[in-house]
Amino acid sequence: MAALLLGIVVLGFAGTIGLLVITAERVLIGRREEQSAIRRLTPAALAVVFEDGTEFPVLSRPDALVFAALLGEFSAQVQGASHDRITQYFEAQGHVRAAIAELSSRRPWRRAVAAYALGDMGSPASVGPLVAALDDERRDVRSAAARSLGQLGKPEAVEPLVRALSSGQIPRGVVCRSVLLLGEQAVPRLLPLLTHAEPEVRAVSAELIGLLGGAREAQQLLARLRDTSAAVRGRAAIALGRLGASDAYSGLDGTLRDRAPAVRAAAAEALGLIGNAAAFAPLREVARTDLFEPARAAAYALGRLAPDLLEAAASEPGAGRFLREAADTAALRARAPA
Amino acid sequence: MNAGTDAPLILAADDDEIILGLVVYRLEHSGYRVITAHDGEEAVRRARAERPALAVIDVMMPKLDGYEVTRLLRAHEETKDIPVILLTARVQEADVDRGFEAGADDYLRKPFSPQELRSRVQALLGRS
Repeated sequence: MAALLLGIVVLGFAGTIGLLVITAERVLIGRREEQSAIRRLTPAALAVVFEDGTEFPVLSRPDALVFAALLGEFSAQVQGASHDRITQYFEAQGHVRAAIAELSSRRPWRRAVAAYALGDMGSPASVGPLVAALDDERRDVRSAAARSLGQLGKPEAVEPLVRALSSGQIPRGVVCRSVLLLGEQAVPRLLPLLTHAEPEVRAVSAELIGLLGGAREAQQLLARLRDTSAAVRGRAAIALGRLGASDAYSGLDGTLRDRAPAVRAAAAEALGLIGNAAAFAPLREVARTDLFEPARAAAYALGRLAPDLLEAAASEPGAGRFLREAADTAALRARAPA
Repeated sequence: MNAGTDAPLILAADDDEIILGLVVYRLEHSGYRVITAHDGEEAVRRARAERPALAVIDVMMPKLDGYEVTRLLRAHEETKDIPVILLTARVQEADVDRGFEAGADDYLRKPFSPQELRSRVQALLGRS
């Protein structure tokens, strides 16, 4: 009986090993075939990218998949006429139409793959369907759609992306990357969102304008320093600092007395970035007397604004620990090797 | 188009095979001879050994980044005059300034336009 059981165990073990070997072999063969197809098809794919009037090759289904994947990879790296030719290929071969149809698939992974692929295909026809996919019930589909809208570079995607972000439907990093990919052309779409009914939309818009805009956007951001939401006031202050808007000084000076400590800290940081010498006295006062977060931010802002005066300010009676810390940090940095 | 032996030699350096392939294709089909490198050290080594007429260098590379490669090229007599175009995925002005401070002559942001690359190369080779 024991020998029989042992035999069954040994046979089962050997069978499992055999299956694993066969599976591994098939995977290796599949990879080798794919690598071979990539090498074989790369010249034709490059011709599509670079040569006007190139006839699109007629391919078997497996080769067509490899070819599409190659063009998808090239698409992410090029712009201009080369990118347009890749889009023409995907449109002419029916890939765009098929992927848009897949966005309605009952299987979530197929919707996610289609949403991702549409970004590399680059067709303007996919903007509307991808915006609709931002409301998909599955997070991975929504994220893929957000990523692809950034790849497509169409400013009409800005508002739905920011709304999706503020509602927490899509990871912050994905949406911000997409809007940043749009660059300056996103700014005119972001400005009206500064007065949106949702505070989170206003806050995100202010932050993105700080990253993408210029000094000409300072007035709209200054108005947000009086927003009812502390999150909006804080992000507007940071944005003004990033833009380096010199005429923002008076608004930010008042924000140093905001009722929310985090907003006062943001204003202090912004004043340090802008570098207006008139901010020295109010920043020193905040550094000496305010709570932890704004006091510390003000002390470090002074280090940026007037490093030569920081040590003297830190040595005054009643200077407090934050000015001392900022002065010591500045001295350490000055001594550190470049 | 096949480049003749008297065609200008260009060094293309990028650790991303896809981008390197695109750059090489564009340059070779514009009539240049191209040598490649996959990291910063190889780029410096090949530049010193083969003295290309121009170098297209990615900023983010293993071993030595594009800024450092540019600085090393400028520091050596035999490579100090090679025009350098930096390819950068970074978009902040400070990074562009850093490239120029290192001695780069021009830069292209990724994703890049191959047509623009050809124009910039032509402009720099015409100038040098």
